[in-house]
Amino acid sequence: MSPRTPLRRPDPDGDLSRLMDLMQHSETLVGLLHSFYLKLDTRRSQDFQAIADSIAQARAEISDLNPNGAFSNAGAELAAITQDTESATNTIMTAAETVMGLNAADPQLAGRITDEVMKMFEACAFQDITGQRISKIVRLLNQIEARVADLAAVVGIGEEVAAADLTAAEIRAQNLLLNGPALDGPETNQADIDALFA
Amino acid sequence: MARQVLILEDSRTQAIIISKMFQRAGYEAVCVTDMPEALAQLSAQKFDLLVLDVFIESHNTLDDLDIYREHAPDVPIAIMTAGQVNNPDAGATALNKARRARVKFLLPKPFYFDDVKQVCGDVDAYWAQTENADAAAVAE
Repeated sequence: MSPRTPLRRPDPDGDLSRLMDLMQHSETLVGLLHSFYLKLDTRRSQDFQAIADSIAQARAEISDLNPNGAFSNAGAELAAITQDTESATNTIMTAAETVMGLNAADPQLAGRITDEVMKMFEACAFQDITGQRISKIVRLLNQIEARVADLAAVVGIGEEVAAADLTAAEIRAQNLLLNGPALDGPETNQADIDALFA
Repeated sequence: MARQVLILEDSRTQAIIISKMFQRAGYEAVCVTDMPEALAQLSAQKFDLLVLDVFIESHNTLDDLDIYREHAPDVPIAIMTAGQVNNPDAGATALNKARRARVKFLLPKPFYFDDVKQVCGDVDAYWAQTENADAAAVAE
């Protein structure tokens, strides 16, 4: 059997020939587009994979921000500090009020004053465990700071972007906080506090 | 003559508070912040009571009780300890270790003047008993 030859009809105006050319061009174009889309698809796939990896890494960083429920523990520590401080303050103020109310003519005056002052000293003993609690919270805050920096690096947030994202109210709140006690500033230092007790 | 107490405590504020309590109980208090300073004081003068904090920096004083006893034979030892926020069992562990080491007095923090007064009373009784025993031994 002889190979089939395409049937050709007379084409006086060359329409068929032009159509054939057009189809050939189209076929070439489709071939080119196919390889373009193939490349584009591969690149998109890599981009999406990179995004997915970033999200996974960010999730890991966020979950590491609160290891073993550290946030809730820190909250409990702060509550305990507040309670201990309040209790000590009340004891000291009550003792001071008692001293102020003592009768200057009382022959036992010196002893009574010493008793009340001793209550003030006892109340100050909360400082030991409170110091430990504060150190623990400071350590946690340092860990969080490091994690947030890692997270910012993962998602590509620079400090300038973070600052630009603050609302006017947030910037004002931040500035107000800066007016708090300064580190190594004019606040009473530990040596002066010790001297008061000496 | 007033009794002498040596207080080993690395927190200056705590040391001042504790020494005030002992002074109120009639003692003369000497405060030191580390072991070498404590041993120097023990070599320099006689004390009637040693009050030692367990956790000095990262060191455990209970591991050195023999050294303190060598420098101050027969002097009663009071061990004071606070719980550690990072290690809730540390306080109980230290107190049990101190009891096993047969220290005379345990003072878990925070303690108060009444606790110090009771320890001072027991220290007076201890030295009275020791002096009576010595006198009896001499008489024999």
